[in-house]
Amino acid sequence: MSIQRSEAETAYLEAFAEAGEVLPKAQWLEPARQAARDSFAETGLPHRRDEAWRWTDLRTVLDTGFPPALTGSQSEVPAGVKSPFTALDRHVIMFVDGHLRAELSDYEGLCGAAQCVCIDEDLDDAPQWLREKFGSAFTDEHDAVSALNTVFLTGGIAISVPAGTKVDKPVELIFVNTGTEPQTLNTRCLLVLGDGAEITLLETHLGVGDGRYVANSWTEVFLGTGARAEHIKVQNETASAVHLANTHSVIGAGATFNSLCLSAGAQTTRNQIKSRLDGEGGHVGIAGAYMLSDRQHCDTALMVDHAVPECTSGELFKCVMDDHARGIFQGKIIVRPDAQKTDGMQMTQGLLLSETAEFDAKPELEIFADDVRCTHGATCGELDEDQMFYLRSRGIPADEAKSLLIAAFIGEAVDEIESEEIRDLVKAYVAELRDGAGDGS
Amino acid sequence: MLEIKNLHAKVEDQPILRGIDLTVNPGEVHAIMGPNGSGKSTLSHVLAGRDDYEITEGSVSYKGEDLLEMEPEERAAHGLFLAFQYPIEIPGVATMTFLKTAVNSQRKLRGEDELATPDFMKLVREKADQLKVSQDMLRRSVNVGFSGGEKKRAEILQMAVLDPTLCVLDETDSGLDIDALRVVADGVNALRGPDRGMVIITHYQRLLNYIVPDHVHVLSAGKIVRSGGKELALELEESGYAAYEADAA
Repeated sequence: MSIQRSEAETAYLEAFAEAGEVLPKAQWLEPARQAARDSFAETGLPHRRDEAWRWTDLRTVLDTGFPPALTGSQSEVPAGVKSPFTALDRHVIMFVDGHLRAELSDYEGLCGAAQCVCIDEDLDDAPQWLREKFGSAFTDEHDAVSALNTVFLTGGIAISVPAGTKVDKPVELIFVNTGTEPQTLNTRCLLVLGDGAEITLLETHLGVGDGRYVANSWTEVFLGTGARAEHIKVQNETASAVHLANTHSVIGAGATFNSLCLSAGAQTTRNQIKSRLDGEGGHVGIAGAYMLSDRQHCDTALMVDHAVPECTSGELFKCVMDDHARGIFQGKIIVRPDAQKTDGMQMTQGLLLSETAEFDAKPELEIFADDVRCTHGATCGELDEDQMFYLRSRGIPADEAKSLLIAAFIGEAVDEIESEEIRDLVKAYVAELRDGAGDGS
Repeated sequence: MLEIKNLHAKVEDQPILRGIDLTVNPGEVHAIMGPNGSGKSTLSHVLAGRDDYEITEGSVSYKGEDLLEMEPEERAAHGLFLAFQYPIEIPGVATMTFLKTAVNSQRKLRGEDELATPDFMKLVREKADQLKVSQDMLRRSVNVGFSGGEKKRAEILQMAVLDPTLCVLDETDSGLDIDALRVVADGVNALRGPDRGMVIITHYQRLLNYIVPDHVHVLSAGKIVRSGGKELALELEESGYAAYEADAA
């Protein structure tokens, strides 16, 4: 059978050979890399025939090759590129164009409490926990996004927090992409929490100017028994960028993983969020917010797997689409036959600010146990005219009234964050983004 | 300050207001009474600038300016306030934030400096105490989870804080028990003054026992069919609106 390959596919396949020479050495990782290479060579970029990719045509989005960024750049980070969490006392690990930049980072304090391994370097001496957990959360399929990340991975960090350790302050991973060249930037974060360990992980993706690039990021979180993690991701790539992301979590008994993903930037965003409740009494909360305008496209494919009894999960997505933007939410909850007493709740809401904006929601429940409570709902609407008139009748100009209502709508997802300080910073950032959008129109 | 002349308005080809004439001078309290469907609430919404209505004839001038040309927020900044019959719930917007945004938006539209936060807080606390609006209510989202009485007290609180020159109260008494009515009426009476005009729209005379009007008008089928002093309200309480509904038919 002859296969017609796209330009991007050919470029990636050709880069495989070159990459082998340059990438960090890791014998133990070779089988995984080889499997990913083989898988990509066989299936290439996803077709829209594939149900999971029904709404996002990666073959069109990646119309030309975006060669992997194999070597580090020394690009400056412009002063205007600022994390929403700058005011927060936190550990900072900074990546520029897919590579860790030690001189821009400040996480010595973290290394005292946890073990940190920089993935930019050769990994032949990687500790056992890293080898064991790396890429192991969900191994059932090799999709193109995961395969490319595995093969071309150039930078990232692996953090192991020992049992009982509470990391003193939030850890922020900042990924700044300058887009000076049309590259693919492949980064990885692995977080392993021992029993009862606690951490707040902030993940900020920032684009510079109008650079065109593909950011492929993968975050994996493993929570031991009774561990707690809060994960807040803010994505504000450039307006021409493509953001592809895997966020995987495996939740142990009595552990809690609470997350928020704010998608505001990038031309095309694909969030693949997977979570497995692996021990009784675990909880996962996944909140999401979209702030899309122009022709932005954001597709979240979410899967929560209740593998054991007595776990709870909650998903809340609040999606705002303006102009010709398109938001997609595909959310699947699986309740395995053993997972009795599961309590799962999913709600997704779209707010359309223009007649040409679009929102598609596909909630799915696959329930194989009989004693469970699972609810899901999806709504889509416009700004409420009565609310608009009420605000305006009090002297609040239309544009400001609109901003207030949008902030309130998104705020419901942001309120899922436990830390009040971080909540306020995210809300302030949402307001800032909205003001920026207002200035442009 | 308010001069309505021959005002006609329709909604979806259905004429609702059919030639209203009304003049309100500073310091005057006018009550507009009338049966259901006579156009009372439409009048209040047209004055506040709701765009569901088409003005087909007539004019409204307010402090010498054409009110109908102004956006709702401009009308508010010029001192017009509408207390809603059914105050709108706005989840996710704290009452305090809403009040502050409203006050400062109006000041900005008028070219005044924004009110400093401590001054604003002091102002709100003082007015809130008078109207028995709790600190908890101020922290909650606008009108969300408020009882009927709380919503109306919150409306009057907004009115007190925004300090308008023309207050339009649309069926403010509806859904209030006698104690709540008294609190609301005290709040309104406290705002009466020589520079402020009020238009009180009500179906029942009851409210007018507490807020005594200078003038009473009967609205029927989109027109003011009779005007008089406060004694007219009592007469209506006796005889009902039947006579006026017959007129309209």
